[in-house]
Amino acid sequence: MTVHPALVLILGALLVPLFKGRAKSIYVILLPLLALLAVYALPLGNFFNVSWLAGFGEMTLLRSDKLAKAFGFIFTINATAAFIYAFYLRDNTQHVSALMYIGGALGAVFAGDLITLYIFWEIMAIASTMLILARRSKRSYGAAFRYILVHIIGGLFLLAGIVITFNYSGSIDFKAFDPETGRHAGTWLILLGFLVNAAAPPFSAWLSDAYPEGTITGSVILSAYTTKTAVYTLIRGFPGWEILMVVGCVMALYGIIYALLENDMRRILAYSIINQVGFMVCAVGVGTAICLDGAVAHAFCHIIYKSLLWMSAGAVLYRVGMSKCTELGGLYKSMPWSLWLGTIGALAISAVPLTSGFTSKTMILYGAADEKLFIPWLILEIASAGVFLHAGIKFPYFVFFAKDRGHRVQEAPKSMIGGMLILAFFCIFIGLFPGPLYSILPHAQNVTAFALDVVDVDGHVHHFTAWKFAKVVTQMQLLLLSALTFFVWIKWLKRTDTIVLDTDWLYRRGGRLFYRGADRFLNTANEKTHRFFIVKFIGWIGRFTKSAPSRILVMVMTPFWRARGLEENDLLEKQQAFYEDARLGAFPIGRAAIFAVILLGLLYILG
Amino acid sequence: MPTDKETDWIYRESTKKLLMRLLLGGCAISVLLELTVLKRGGKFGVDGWFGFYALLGFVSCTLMIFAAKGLGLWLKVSTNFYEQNKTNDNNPPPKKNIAKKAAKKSTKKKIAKKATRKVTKKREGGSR
Repeated sequence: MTVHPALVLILGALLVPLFKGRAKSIYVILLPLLALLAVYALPLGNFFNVSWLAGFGEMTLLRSDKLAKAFGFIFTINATAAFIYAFYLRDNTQHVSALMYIGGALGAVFAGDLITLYIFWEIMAIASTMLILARRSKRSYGAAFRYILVHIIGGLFLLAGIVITFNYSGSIDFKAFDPETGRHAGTWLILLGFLVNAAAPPFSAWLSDAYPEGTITGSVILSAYTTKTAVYTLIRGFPGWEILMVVGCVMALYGIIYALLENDMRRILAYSIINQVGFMVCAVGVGTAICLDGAVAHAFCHIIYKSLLWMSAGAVLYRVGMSKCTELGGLYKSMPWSLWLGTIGALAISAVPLTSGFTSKTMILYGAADEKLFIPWLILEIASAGVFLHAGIKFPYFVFFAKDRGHRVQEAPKSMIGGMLILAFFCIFIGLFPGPLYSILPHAQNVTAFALDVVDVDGHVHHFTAWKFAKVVTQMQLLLLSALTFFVWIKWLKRTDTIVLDTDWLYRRGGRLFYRGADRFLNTANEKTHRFFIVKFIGWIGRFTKSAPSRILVMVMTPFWRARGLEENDLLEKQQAFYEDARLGAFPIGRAAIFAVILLGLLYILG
Repeated sequence: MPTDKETDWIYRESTKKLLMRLLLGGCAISVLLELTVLKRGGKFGVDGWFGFYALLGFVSCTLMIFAAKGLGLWLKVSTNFYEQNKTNDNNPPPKKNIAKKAAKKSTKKKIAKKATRKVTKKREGGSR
């Protein structure tokens, strides 16, 4: 029997409120385990084909292939570890939202068509917003509001793109769009919708704004799914779109610079997600089989070590109640487990040999170098060094060492340590034996414990080995010198109690500034217009209608008066008297009759 | 002030020196180990140069730190930056500012009063 893994979680979530105490915690751990089993048991192929949208053709609710299953495995493994970590938690809102959210991510990954993808995409957006709201603080409410607004806009891009694409091609199949012939308004809008969820600049600020405001377990879960589902959709839909190389490189560097500037440990980790997703997006842009497999492998490893880092940060937040580097430090004695397990995550994200990051990130670098793409390769190498700087050293150094702030707290609860231990195990295991990970990659062939063959579309076979002496040596050079740089320039890296302005400024402050600017501009324009038209122009019209006829007549009469031999003084007197007569309307009848004749004559001539 | 022996071992100057030496040693070893790599020569030529990755690590990280520092001058703001703006927009300025302004005004007035008193006294004195 084929069971949709997403339904296990979504339907299971509805029953969470029925359980109490430890039974609730055990139940929410069992659900992702069941979903993992469902993913494992899924045969390859398309299932649950329905056609309920007239005119749109058949929808495929479940498409099972190697790519979807690879993401299905890591989504459910990570969910299991996250719920073990959250064993202490009995909050229905958080559990139900988290399960719905992960279910939405699984549904999107296994969606065979664009409509199904869109439905699960929106389920994810709503459920993830609940995870931010669940913190129940003023800041989290604000962040959740901004988060859902950005995701609604992203969802609208996606929906508009789907409709236009259907109009172009007559199909809602979710398959790779050709980078040359598949470019049209619809695919660009779909790409934009995916990039909003991938947190690509300038649509990236929602991530660093919202994730640090989530609950402790909520943020652990949030860190894994939205951006990686977006990476999956990019791998599926946009392999070889060169623009993604540029986007990926920008993301990789942007994440580092902002993470270096940040003071809040969870914001550092949030920017670090953008940096790491940049590697994957760039790999999708390269689009070769080895790069796409590298992106899948890196997403797999990234979910594990990033969750581990968020768990470590969450444990600190749980015990100390603070998350700013300026308030933390010296926790290495109080929370040694959190330190060591977090450090394993930090080493893995930095791609230190013997950890998972080394076995996946090097695939992407190899793929970029193999295509002779010097600039993307160089930027990713620089970003690799930068990762060690901000996530590998800065995070553990400022949180657990740096200056002793006198926090004497207990170690994190056992359930938290348990969740972290599972993920730390995967970080090391994949680092030592990447074979099992390589075996689930979409294009992998002849997989051994440390190597695999990847066959390109053109038949070119890449033999990739995780472990090579030269590779280890050069990677260690890069990382150790990066560490040395950190300590050489440590005075420049001292934390300040600040935040960093990002593109969210545009809608948090910019919107208000726009309002003020528009207010000033429109009111000034209104005032000037009033002054010109109402005060000056109407007065001028009044004066004109009052004095113009007399002036015209004076102009007409002056040559006659001059001809009669009047001198200048007399002429002026005559004119003044004429104006006075005109003002009072006291012209002699004869003169009035002449004027009337003149005017009538003029009217006759002009008419 | 605790002596070097009283502080935790990790914060001792001697430990810091030791760790720095270990790091420098590690850097040196990683560079020297490249000599033992028989097959050197990268995909782009430049990546095959001896010590390329070490140089790349140091230079790029230094540049990133400087770039971050430079951008920080422009982008860093106080933690309640957005909350401050909200209050300024919707409400009158905080009472503190009003109080300060009032205080400033009153001191200015006091100074002006004092000055006029002095002048009048002088004048009065002069006239006497």
